[in-house]
Amino acid sequence: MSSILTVAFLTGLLVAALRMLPPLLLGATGEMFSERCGLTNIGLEGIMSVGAITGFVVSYFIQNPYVGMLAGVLSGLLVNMIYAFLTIQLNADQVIVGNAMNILGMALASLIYTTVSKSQSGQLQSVTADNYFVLVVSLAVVVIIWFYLYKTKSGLAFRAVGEYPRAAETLGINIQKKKYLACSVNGILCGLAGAYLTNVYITSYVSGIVSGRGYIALAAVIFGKWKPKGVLLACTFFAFLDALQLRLQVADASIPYQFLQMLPYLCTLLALSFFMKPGSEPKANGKPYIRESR
Amino acid sequence: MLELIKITKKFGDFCALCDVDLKVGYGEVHTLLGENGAGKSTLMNILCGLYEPTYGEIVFKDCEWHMDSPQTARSIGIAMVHQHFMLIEAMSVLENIMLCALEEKGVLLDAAEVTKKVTEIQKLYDLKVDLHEMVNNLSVGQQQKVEIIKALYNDAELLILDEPTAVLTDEEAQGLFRIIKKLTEQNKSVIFISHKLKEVMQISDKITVLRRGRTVVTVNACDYSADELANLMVGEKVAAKAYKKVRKKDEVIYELQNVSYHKQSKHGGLSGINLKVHKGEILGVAGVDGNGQSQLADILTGIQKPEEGKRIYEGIDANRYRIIDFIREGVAHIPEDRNKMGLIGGMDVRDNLVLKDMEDARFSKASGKFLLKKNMQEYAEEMKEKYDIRCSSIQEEVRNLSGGNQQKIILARELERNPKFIVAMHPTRGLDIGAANFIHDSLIRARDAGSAVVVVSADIDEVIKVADRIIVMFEGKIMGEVPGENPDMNKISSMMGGKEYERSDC
Repeated sequence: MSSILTVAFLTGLLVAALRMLPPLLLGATGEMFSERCGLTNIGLEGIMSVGAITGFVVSYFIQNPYVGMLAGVLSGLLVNMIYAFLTIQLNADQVIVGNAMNILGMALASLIYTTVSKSQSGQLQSVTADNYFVLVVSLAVVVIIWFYLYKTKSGLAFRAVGEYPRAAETLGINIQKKKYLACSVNGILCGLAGAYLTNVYITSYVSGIVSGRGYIALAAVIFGKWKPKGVLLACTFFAFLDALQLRLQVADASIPYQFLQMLPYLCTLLALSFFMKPGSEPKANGKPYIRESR
Repeated sequence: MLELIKITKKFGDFCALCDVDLKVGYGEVHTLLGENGAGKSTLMNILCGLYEPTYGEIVFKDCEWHMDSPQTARSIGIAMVHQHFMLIEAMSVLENIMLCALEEKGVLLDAAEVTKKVTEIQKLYDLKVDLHEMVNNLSVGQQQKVEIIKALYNDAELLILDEPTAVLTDEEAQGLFRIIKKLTEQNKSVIFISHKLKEVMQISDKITVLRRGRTVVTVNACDYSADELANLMVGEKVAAKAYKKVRKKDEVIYELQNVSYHKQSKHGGLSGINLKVHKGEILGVAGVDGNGQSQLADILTGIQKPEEGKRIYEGIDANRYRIIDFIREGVAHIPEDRNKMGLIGGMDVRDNLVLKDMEDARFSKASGKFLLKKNMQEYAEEMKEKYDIRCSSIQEEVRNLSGGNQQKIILARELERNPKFIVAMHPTRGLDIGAANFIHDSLIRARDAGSAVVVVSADIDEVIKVADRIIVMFEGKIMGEVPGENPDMNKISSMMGGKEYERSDC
């Protein structure tokens, strides 16, 4: 155990945690934003997968990770518009659509990767972007979203839609517009989260690279009580856990690595079952809004 | 100020409003009176832009308006306080008010500016509410004040109050009336929707009576008596019914001995309840809502178990009875919220009617495993006739029925089981006079057939009308008891306010 409490270990842990943080934070912030407007999107994993593969492929051909990440952002935005159309326009069940998004996103990513790698030879590699660029962006996003939600008129209206859409409508708020905004932001952030994984975290693509981060982000929203600060803390907590399990795998071979890999998820479950209190969720979250219904 | 000319609204083939005319003057309190389903709410929803009329004209301040959205209504000075408040509970009072100021200039929220304007309004109309409190911590009366502030913040000149007193205590209602007076003094007009005749008489200048989507008549409030208005509203002569009260006491069927539940909670608990209910009597439980009445009903029907004390049913210790045991032993329950507890909205009339009797040989084989749809069908048709349940067919989903018809379904299901003991919570809340009388008649019939009935109601007139014996609850305790015949009203109101009296026999 003495190898654990060294300076090298701790700095390594910190660096790893900071590398883990952006995708979680981007995904969770996007999802929090979406849920504050009443749209539960459990399809984060799928959107991130699409962002990851698009970001990688573009970056590989153009050899510029920033253009790659921009492409990832656009692909996230685009693919989340499917979710938006189905849930906002057609009032489809959000959980089912979200589930479909997961399956679609992951399958689409595999399809694209297989197609591209067949035409190229050898292991595909792209250039890496600056390590901390996306981290700074993601922290800025949290601040901007906090400012929007709590300091602007538009943000107040946005929250009203997530709490009580009928009341919002009587106040003249355009509900569909707000919901499309929610979906756009969520798509963009999840797309970036995915692209980060293939442009910064590693510089290639492997199948299943998102590896549950979309789901952890969902948990972070609940754990963070649907508030920007809370989500930031929750994501930091999960990022540290993930970093810790990776470091421990290297440091101590006597513990089976499968057990360590399980740890962050176990902690997620424990955190949710002990710290989850009802009442902080936006009231109209997950419910479609149908006009002129009584 | 406002004139509606030949307003008509159709939902499909159903004509909710038909050629309705209405005139409201400046500084006037104009009451819309009518039974449930008479079209009051539809008319108001048209006026505040939620529904568009099929045809008809709306003239406000000498201009004709096309109300296509709530904003149009608000921008010309018409504001509505809905029966179910349009407040966001997870936000503060101030945030809720700021939501009405979205069209003002600027992108950012300006709390200081809004606070300034709101404080002025609060002073002018005496509307005291803490702006920084979260809405879900406020009482219903205070929430209503927030709604009125919201309307005034938008410079409303015509306020529509949709059944504003339905949720208020008498005292809060008087406070509301004072506010309404202040509004009319400022030359603002109020449209008041209600079916409580007493307060309508007290507050209105003019009254328009609606029946089945048509205007019956518009009158000056001072020219008519409450009885005459009731007749106009229902459309037939209704005599205020008086039931014969029972005074002799039969044997005790249900007894609570020193029962407590969540003792510390004043508004959601019970402490030291002693109660005897006799066969063939109606025990009325009066009191302001939320003083433990719901918990009392839950204990009596087995939904909750007492934390202390004893529950004795038919001479047997029933402390460990589950809900199903009580049902089997003949306890019927007409719950306080028919949509949440009494009925399954997405199921049809037939299925709701037999929910408690599915194991019965009449409706199924092998005690509930195979349903006999044909028998259920016949039974449901029979009940539809007997209880006058108005629905397009017994296959209709119950959520589409009016409150009165929903309540009749519950009544049919509970009373047809020939219960020995009935708990009825707010049995006529939100129902019109016709339906309410039907329910009261049915409860009296059940009493005369030997059932013991407990009627819990926040409407003191209802309790006095049906109860043979009245107890009053306050903060989880029973304050005292009065006989149902010629009850001492002063004593009842002082008990509702928390004064405790000795009881000779519980």
